[in-house]
Amino acid sequence: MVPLPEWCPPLDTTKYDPNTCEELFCICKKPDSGELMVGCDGCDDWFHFKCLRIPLEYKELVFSFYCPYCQAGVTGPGAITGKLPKTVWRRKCRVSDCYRSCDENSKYCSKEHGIEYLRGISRRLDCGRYGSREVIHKMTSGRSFKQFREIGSLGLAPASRDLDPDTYDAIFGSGVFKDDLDVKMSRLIEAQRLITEGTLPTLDRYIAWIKVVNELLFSNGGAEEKGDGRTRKKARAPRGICGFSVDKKIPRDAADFVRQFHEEKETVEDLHGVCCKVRCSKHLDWTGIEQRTLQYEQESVQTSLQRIDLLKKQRNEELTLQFHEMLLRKHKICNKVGGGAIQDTTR
Amino acid sequence: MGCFRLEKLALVVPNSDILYTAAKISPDGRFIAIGEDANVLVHDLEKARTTTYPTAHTRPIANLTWSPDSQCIATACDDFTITITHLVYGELHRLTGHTAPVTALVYTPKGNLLCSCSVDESIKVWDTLEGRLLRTMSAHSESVVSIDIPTCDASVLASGSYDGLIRVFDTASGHCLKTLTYDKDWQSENGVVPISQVKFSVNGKYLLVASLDGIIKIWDYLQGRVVRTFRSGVSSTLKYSCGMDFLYPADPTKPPVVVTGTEDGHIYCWDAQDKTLYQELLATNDNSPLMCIDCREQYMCSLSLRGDCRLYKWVDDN
Amino acid sequence: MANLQLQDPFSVLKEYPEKLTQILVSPIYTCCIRFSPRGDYLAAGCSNGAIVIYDIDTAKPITMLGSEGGCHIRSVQSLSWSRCGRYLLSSGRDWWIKVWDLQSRSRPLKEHKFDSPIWECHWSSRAPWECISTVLEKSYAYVVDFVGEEAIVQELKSTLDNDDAESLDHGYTLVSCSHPRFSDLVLTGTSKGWFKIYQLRQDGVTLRHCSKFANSNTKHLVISQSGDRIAINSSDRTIRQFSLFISDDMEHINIEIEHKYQDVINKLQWNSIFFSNNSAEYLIASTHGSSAHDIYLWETSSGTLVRVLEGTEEELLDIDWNFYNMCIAANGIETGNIYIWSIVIPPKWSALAPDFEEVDENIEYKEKEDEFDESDVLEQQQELDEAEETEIDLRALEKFDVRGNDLTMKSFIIPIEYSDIVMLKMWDGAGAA
Repeated sequence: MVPLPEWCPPLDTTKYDPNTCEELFCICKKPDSGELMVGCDGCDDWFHFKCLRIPLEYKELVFSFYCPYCQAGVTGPGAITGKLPKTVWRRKCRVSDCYRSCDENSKYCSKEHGIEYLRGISRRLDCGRYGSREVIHKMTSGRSFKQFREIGSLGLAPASRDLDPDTYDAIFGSGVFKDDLDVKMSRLIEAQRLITEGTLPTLDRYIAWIKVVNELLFSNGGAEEKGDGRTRKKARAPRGICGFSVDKKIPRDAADFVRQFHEEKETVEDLHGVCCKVRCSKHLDWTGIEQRTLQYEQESVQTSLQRIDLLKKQRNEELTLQFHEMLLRKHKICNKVGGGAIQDTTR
Repeated sequence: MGCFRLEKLALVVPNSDILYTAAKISPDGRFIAIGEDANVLVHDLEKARTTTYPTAHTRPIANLTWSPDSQCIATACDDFTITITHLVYGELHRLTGHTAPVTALVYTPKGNLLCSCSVDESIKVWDTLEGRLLRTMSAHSESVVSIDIPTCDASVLASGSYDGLIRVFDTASGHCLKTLTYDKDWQSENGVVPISQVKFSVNGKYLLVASLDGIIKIWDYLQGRVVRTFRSGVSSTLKYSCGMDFLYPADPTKPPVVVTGTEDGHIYCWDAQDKTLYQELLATNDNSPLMCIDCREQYMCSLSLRGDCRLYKWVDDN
Repeated sequence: MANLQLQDPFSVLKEYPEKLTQILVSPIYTCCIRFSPRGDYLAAGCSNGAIVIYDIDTAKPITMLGSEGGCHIRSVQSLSWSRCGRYLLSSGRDWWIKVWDLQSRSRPLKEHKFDSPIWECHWSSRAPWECISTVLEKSYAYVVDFVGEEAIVQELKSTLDNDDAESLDHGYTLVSCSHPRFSDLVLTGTSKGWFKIYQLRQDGVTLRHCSKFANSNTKHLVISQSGDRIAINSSDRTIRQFSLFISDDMEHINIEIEHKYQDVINKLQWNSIFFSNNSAEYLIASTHGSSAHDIYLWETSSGTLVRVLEGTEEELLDIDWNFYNMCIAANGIETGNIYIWSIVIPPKWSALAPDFEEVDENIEYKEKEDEFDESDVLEQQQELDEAEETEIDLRALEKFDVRGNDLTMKSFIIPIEYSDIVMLKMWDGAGAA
């Protein structure tokens, strides 16, 4: 069940006035007074348009009507099946103050209204220096429906400076927003360059170095020497020192580093800024974090660049539209000199 | 005391058969937006240049409003729809849902919600990010023609309707919090007096209300009583909903000014505190009704039905 | 907020929310959530490092931080809004703490990297741009100053006292919070159950208080707005509530246990805790474990459970309570959705008809002495005239709302990212074509 509309009282099943024995209808439970009503297809009761807040103009548009109780599942088929019915309307004629329903396969109630609607549109068509008749003729002179549909699919004609240099410069010359996007774009490209040429190779080299160090330290069976069962089980997991360093600078040759590490009796935690703990929970997954950070940066730069590209396109379209509109308006004002137009002046 | 001085004429009118009803100064003070048939003209005050923004409307624009960040213009149209147009990216949303002409719009201070009212007697609240209808408030029994939200407090929304009532709603829940009758005997034998415009004071504590009998009142809506009454002109039954607004002089010790337009093209300015008439000026060439008055900082923009759009600046006397 | 002045005062002044009213749907797992200072936005930190900001009015996400990069790439551990609502501080398991300027949020404004995951980080109440951070396996918290180009980081460790003040092993410092009234006091809790108060002075740091309250990890440490009550949630399944007395010259510091909260039946851990406003009349906590889906609400003076906030079907993780909108938010561990409980104020039908009054029960009508008297027209007119002459103030803004919240601090409005709308439209257009 769905709730009844706020304005609808709960269902009252009284069918007759106990005093006058008149038959009662609608949510208002009043006898028929000749006011416009509509019959419900679900419960066969009759309802006032007014009470249900349906504009009287819609009277010809009802296809199948269900009252609020049936729509809410209180009565009618919804109460039994659980599938709530809804009022279905006929499509209204496109002429805005006509409330007749459409003819079959048409958007209008009649041929006359079809003509009236399109005439209204052609009146509103602002064709600039061309007459609207001329434009419509051009539009409809195509041979096929397909050709007709393709009109306009190419988008606006590009704004050309030759048409009107002043207007062109006024719109395209002062692109405050445009520069803004260009600056952003070059900043992103620079950020991208820094990663691919600087940070990323440095990190890769450092990680490779640590790998070499760990291979030197542990691959010659250093761990297995102790030979107890526990280490053997773990033999498959790559062992090694943590290797984290803040600046990712390779301190010295790997072999050198390993030698020094052994000299320090392997208990040192930090050698040349390199973390030498074997099981380091503090820097856990530092390579993962570093690599993901750079990867993420690159991804964001890529998506941002694509996005800026699209935005520039969209804005250019909008500016082109404004350019054409301004030409039209100029044209109109020129034609109306002396027609009560006031000049745009600052006093 | 002080007075308005004409700064500039903002609009070149090419079509004298078009009726103009809305002109608003952008919150950043750089532009004036004017509804012209189905287009929005945006006049850049600094560059003295007008740009046309076509909309997808099929009928004339009845009203418009700027988003608080001055980047978008929302238009209310007789074709039952609302569009939101961005100054750089063009149309962002077309909002459909009203079943009659849309009459007025107001953004919340955050710019995240747009509220609209309509001849269909309802008020709707839209999410401006997704262009989604959030809720509908149906509490009037005639066209709702004006709505407002204080710039300092998005929690309340006031509406004025031709049913003669001013209602204050909770913006978040849509519940009606208060109803102000136009007068003690609002339902006299002549019927009710339709409300034509409502506007909150800058602190959101008072409501400036214009009605079609030509009387302007300031309501203390929390207490539910009228605290100021202003009468303009002679006519007692207006044909047009003329504009009005508050102006706050730069000097905080000076009382706010109530600015109203009349049907014969005049502007009246009153001291909101002691009700003295400061100034009366003619703001049109042809005495056509002043449909819109919009004040922003020290500037006031007026627009006549025939498209005469002027910008005035308030100058304090010493 | 004028709406509160026109609503039923008994409903408006309720001290805690009771009803689940909103669910913010999140496609990603959320780790931590924080309301903006005025309660009009909610920031959610996610397990993949994303930070999403929701608009409470529309219950929809409005932005993700770091559209051009620079966001966390491991789970976000904590979020903290600056008092003005413009700067958001985030910390992550990826070792970074970042400051975001919501005015231009495509990249972080400032950031600092530690050498291990961060537990939490919050703005200090002492100075703008200063924050306190706790880091994995560190004995002390850190004071991070973002005022300059590079962050200045300093261990929060006593420098002015004699050596034996901190000679004992107190474990790692895990949590911290700033004192709301004495802004140079920082409270910390350690992995071995120690509670310490440091004072940040011009000349260095001194340890003002150090005591042991338990033998286990500190999970959370919260302090009331008034600063005289604290609560500590620790791994021993207990929340301890203390009264905290600090003399004005800070010479005397005294803490005393008031109550211990435990789930006696299920012996559950507490996921998160939060105090109500002012002197913290109430304490709320979310429970650990898949069988518990509620938030418990205790009265702090008596220590009794007064309410259980229900309505969700999953375990709740982090909680936050905003006192402007009087909403409690908590995020679900399974879906990542954010649940919001608020005070529901019933509609007042009499508001629709002026001159109507709602009564609780039928009142027998009795004619009043003067009810049908011909009222004195002159007197009425006089009253109206008087109203017209009383001075009105159209400019001055309200300083406090009816709940006593400060309204002078303007809420920061996060600018709308219009290019997002344009992009969405383009995708929709591409999808349709």
